[in-house]
Amino acid sequence: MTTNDEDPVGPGAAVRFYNVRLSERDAWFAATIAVLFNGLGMLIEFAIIRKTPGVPERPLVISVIVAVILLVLLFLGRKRPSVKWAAIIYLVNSAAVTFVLVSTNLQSAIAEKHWVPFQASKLGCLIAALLAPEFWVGLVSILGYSLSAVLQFEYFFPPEIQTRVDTAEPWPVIAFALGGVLALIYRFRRVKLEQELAQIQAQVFAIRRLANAFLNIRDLMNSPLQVIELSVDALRKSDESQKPILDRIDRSVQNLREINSVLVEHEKEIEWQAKQ
Amino acid sequence: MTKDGARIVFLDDNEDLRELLPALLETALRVECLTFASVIDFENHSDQVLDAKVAILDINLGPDVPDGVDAFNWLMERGFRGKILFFTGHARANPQVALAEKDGARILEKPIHPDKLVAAVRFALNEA
Repeated sequence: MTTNDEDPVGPGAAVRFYNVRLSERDAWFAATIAVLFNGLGMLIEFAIIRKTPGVPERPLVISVIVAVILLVLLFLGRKRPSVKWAAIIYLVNSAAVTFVLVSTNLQSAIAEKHWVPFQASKLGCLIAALLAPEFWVGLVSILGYSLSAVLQFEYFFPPEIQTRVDTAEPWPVIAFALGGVLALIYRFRRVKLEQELAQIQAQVFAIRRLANAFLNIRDLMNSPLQVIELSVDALRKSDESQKPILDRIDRSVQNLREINSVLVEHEKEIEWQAKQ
Repeated sequence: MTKDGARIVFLDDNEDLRELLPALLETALRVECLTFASVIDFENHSDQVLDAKVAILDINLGPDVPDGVDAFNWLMERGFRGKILFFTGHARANPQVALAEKDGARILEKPIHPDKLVAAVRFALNEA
């Protein structure tokens, strides 16, 4: 069995927004911010639920520990960032947050008289749209946050709690999920445009460099050609020894040979850019 | 008609051109032709340069050194009253040369046939 190393989104193929890859560094940074958000958010949540009896603290502690482990991994891997590992870390982080929310929502709803439902899940949908290192990772995270809230509300919340909290649920969660997905699409389309623009700018830069190189080459070629023209003219008119004039022609031909070698170098550059 | 005894100054970094062009012009036009390899050398001989009837300037004189446009500006600042000809490979691509053209400078694009070169310099001498 052979492996196929070809990139399915190769040069010349139209890259769809859902296939857009962030740079390794951007993906790593986004995952780091998301994990930090989890760690710091859970600490704030911890301060909140300490005043709310009955809400379990253990899921929060687990999530903070997961965040710390992920932060250590992100810190250790910061010199060799990868989109793949940023995506995995992001998904693990999202799973940890979803676990905390599923574990504490019902108790919070019971314990807090004016509990506003699924605030953190709604926030998670928007954060995923802003920070997901890949489109599919963002989509999975948004679905995870929103579906867990909807399912929990519909099937695991007692009817009296459902009645007490916002009667509009689960539609607000679904609206946030939809908003998150649209924002995610918008973000990756924008990244796609930025990448296309950067590619065009790089091409323009390369073409300008080549144009300058060819102008310089023209300038370098024209002096030897002029020497040859004048030498031939002098040769025709001269009755004297022709050796100095022939020497000049030789020098100019040599100059033209050197210029030709410069042209060969630039041909290689053009070929290299064409392969990009 | 040529002007016997008139002086032409020629600025070019190509040594062979600095030998061939004066030989051609001195023979065809009976003029004195002084050559310079750099703008610094050109400026160091200001008395002879400013007294010339025609200045022929190459533009690209090598990397990181003043070019023919600098020499043109230097001549203009000192009230040079002769004719200025740019003798270069890619004058049209240089916006400063386009500006110089508006100030009366002319452009001779290398490579140019010797007869046309002589005719252009003769014309400039007659105008000067």
